[in-house]
Amino acid sequence: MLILGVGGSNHDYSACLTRDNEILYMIEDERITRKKNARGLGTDIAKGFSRKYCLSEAGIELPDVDMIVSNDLIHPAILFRLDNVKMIDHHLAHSASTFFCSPFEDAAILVVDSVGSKRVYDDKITYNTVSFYYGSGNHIFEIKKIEGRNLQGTDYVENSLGIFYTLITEAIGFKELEEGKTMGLAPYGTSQFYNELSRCIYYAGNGKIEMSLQSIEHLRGYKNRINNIPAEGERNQARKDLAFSAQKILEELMTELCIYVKEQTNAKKLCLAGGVALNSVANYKIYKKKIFEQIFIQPAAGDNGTSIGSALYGYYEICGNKRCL
Amino acid sequence: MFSPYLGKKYSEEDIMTAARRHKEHVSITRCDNVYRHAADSIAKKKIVGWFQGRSECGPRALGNRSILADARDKNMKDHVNAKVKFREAFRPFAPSVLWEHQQEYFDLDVPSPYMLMVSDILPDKQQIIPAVTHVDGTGRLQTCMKELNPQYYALIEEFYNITGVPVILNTSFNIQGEPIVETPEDAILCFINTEIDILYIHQFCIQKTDI
Repeated sequence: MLILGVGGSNHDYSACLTRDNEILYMIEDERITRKKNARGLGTDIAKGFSRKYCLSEAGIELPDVDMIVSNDLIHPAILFRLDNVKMIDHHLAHSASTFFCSPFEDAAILVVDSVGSKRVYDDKITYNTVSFYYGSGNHIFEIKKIEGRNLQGTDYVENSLGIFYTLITEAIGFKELEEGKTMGLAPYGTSQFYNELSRCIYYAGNGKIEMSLQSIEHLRGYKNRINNIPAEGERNQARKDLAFSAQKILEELMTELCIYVKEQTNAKKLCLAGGVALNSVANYKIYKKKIFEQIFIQPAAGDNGTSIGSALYGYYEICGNKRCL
Repeated sequence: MFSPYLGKKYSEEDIMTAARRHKEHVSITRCDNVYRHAADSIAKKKIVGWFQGRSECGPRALGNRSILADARDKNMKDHVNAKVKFREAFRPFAPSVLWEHQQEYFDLDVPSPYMLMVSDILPDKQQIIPAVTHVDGTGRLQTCMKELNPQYYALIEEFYNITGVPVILNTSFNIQGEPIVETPEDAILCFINTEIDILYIHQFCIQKTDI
């Protein structure tokens, strides 16, 4: 059985081709187009670079594929001319990318990124920011999802650890998707901003991270605050202190989320995915706390990895195939 | 164990064609022992482009599309930054270590095969590998395991045989702001446009003709 997973959101598009339980090929559009994170492609998005690469290498054509699976956060243009695409929840695609690639028969699964799938209620629209799952055999069970409202006119969402770290990254002067630079800068700083940042984002219990729309506005103000420091030395030190303080908070909150999913599942193993799982400093601290005996992290933890998750979710969960380890 | 090496394979013909297309800038020769040759280059403080097998998924280069250098040289971080990567000086470079020797250097008792854990480096080892030791004494290590990447393992093992140090500096094969190279031609172009000293693609050694 051949399954094509199409991955990404509004960036980091990718394709993954599986034959039964085996991943044949996975490639990110950026590697082919030579545009980082596959941004700035314009209408070329619709050309489907990554899936053509996978199909051509496997010596097959699109009609040979038995199923196409993607996630509901993806830019619709990437699915141009694809019929009968099964759409799954964005965080579910992340969760499948880590659990089904892990060597674990059962595990707690934690997905943390900036923004996941949209949910429409009668009176409001929210976006998923954190998801807790339990994986067992060929099944993934949802435990809980944390959601937040969008700050009008922006891409920022409440109660999102990923957005918090992005806001700090932007305040320092780096760009979105350069969060790794903030992590690298952190050890040069001090906890100068720790207390004030802790009032903007904190753990509210029951798996919930609290960061209000007001807090987002406040965090956005740091960029000007720092740029307005007249002395260059002080300005640069403030950037380092901001990175240090935000990193410390991210580590503490990730630890709380891990403890929560441990309590909910009683699993001995943990699978991580979502952009925040690329925070390798936090990952080490989580491991060192021994909340879980073993941790598996999907190397394509960002949105690029959702193609892997989508394809494997199709094979195991949608088709119900047995998972042999 | 999950293999992140999921890109397509490139043939000898693909490599030769790419090299021929840039023959005014590069020459290509076959190596008897590419692992030994590359390890020797690294130990001689050369910046090495290393392209083997199928490309890795995700943002980290895991030894198939990597730029490699000597982790023992304290100037290497600034050198690689200035000559090749053109990125901010504060950013650290990552170590790759042979799994069997990991705990001699790092405070981590499980593998980190996908470079997703930043571990404390043991205090007495930090001065041995200064180019990959961050300001707080940590390193974003990649555990190199024979079963997952035998080619990369063979290279670091050769380096260990020459120097007694089972650790090398590994950074992604790209220039700041560009994606990691995918094809042999991407690698050759990046090689030509930077001061990478020598490039290995599969069993081939590629050198610049204009120096």
